[in-house]
Amino acid sequence: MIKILTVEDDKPISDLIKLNLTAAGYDCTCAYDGMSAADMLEENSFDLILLDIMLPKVDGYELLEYIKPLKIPVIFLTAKSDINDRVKGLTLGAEDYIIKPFEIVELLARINVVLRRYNKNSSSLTFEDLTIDTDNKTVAKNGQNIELTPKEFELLVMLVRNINITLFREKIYESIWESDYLGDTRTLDLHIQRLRKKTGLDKKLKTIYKVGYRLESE
Amino acid sequence: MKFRTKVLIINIILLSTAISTVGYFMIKKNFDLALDSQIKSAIEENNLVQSTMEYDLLDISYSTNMITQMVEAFNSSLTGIPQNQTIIYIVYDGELIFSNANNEIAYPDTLWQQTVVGKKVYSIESLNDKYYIYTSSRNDVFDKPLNIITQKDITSIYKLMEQQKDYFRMLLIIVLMVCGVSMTAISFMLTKPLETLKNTSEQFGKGDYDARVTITTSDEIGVLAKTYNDMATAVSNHMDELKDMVARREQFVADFTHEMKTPMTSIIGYADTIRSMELPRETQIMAASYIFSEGKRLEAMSMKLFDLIYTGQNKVNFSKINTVKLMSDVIESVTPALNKKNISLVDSCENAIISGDKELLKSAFINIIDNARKASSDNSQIIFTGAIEKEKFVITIQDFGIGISEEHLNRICDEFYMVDKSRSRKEGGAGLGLSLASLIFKTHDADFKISSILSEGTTMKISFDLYIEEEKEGNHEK
Repeated sequence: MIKILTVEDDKPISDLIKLNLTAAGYDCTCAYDGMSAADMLEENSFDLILLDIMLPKVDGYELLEYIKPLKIPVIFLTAKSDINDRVKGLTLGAEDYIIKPFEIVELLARINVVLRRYNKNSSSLTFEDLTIDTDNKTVAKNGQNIELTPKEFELLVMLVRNINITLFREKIYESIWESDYLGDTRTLDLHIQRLRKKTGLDKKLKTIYKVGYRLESE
Repeated sequence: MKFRTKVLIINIILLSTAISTVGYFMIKKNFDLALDSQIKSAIEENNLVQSTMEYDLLDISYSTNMITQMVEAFNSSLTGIPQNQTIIYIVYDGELIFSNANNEIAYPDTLWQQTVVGKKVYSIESLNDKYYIYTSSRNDVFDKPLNIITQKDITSIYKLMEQQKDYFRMLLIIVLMVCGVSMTAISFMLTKPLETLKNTSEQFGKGDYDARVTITTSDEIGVLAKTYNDMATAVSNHMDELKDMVARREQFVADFTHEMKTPMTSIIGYADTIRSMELPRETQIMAASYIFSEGKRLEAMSMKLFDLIYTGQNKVNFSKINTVKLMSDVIESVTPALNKKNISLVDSCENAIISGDKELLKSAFINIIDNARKASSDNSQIIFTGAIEKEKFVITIQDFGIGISEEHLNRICDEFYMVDKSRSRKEGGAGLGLSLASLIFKTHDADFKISSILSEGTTMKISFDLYIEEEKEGNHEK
């Protein structure tokens, strides 16, 4: 299991991140200030760190200097939206810079990108009897290959990576078709239907009426 | 044109005019005096000749050869007159009858006609670069005019005048050259401070606000330089203030957005989670209560911001406030929160009247006591007193909590400044309470002092002016 350390002094936000990361299948540990984060880093190993900048005792920039030798990727998570802060954060060696308020889907997507860059998340995803190889872009059901179009494949990966999370139509549209959602959902609906048919996920891939779709697991 | 060039040109014009005028009159006077004496001597010469001739004429009688007789008589008389000096022309009835000159005749024709008996007429004529005085006298001989004209060479005084003129011109050129050089030097020295001033103000204009003039002379330019420096200091101070203000405003906006974003992140995040996921009941409640509490935090912050802006715009309604009533209202508001931590409030208040906006003052004191509560541990004590001290009404709030270190004390009243952010947020603070309170006291012209010792506690003293006319009335009621 991938272990993520969240360093955030605001309890509600910290809890929020933990709630969602746990749901997405990560092991999430929380630190509320820079000092305790450093202590935790000494005792445990982590695959990724989400780091706030304005922290009590030791701030995010200082902590980043401490993390660097450990070669753990860091994503800054901060309300400082000033371009100088962003540049500073990235030049100091952070992998990404997420500005508050952020959306959960965005957070998960960015975590995924960073983990992939570090080859930390496996290139194969599994959901029940489906095995997805993200490197070769192949899907197998019980060992039998299924032919999917590139868009169908991306859609399936997005759904599997966000198990139990409702994906809103506009979100899906924006990330898979990479264009603004204009209210036309026929394309998306059609892809979902074909995906259900090809993968046999008729029941698990739920339509949330007027909202979007959700892949549910037991 | 440069100032120094102007000074130079004007001075040279003035100087040359003055010297020329003086020189002209000097030379003219000199010449006139010399001419006068020459004329006098010419007249005397003529007199001498005339008296000699008159004597000769006595022997002449009217006859046909009287002119020949006259010429012979004159010829013989000439021996008594220095021949080489005086040249004589004798004209009888318009005809030249005698002359001892060897060169041509230069006297004007009209001279003999203008002459009357007993008077002498003279005329100055020039001929071939030479100047002569012709003096004429008249005797009537047998009812016809006989004119004796003497000629005197005065070229020497004209030559002298020309020499003087030449000498003077040379002198003028030398003087002007010497004066021009020294004047240039002097005007350069005089205008150098102006040049310095110009360069400095150019530098200042280009944004070097530390540029100052180093002129220490005590003349007008020195005074100007000092005034300029004072102005420059005032301007650069003003610039610093403006920069400081802009920086503070930027800091305020940055802090404000940061403080807004933190609760907003939670609200948006939890709402998004609730709508996207099937959550267990407890988690749902947790998410909803976070949305609620963070929403409350935003609300409290916006209220305080509103108060801050409202107070900042000086929309304050001043009225008479009874201090006892004010303090009991404050105590009523803070008691529930204090009871939760079992903190006891020790209060005492003298009866007095101050002038102010009651609602604003109440909110300021509530904020301060709330801060004291947050700093205090459970079962501790807060002292809240009001007393008249030296024409002032002094309200003191003292806690025995964690205290504030010196580094934080200066910035404690800045907007969104929090000594311990996580602790402050946990207590629902936004870092606005003290800035609001200090702004309210400022609009009331009240003196606000904070003193603190780390881990021993904090004391805040606010001194108001007493409402003078109503002060006694308040005591009577008591």
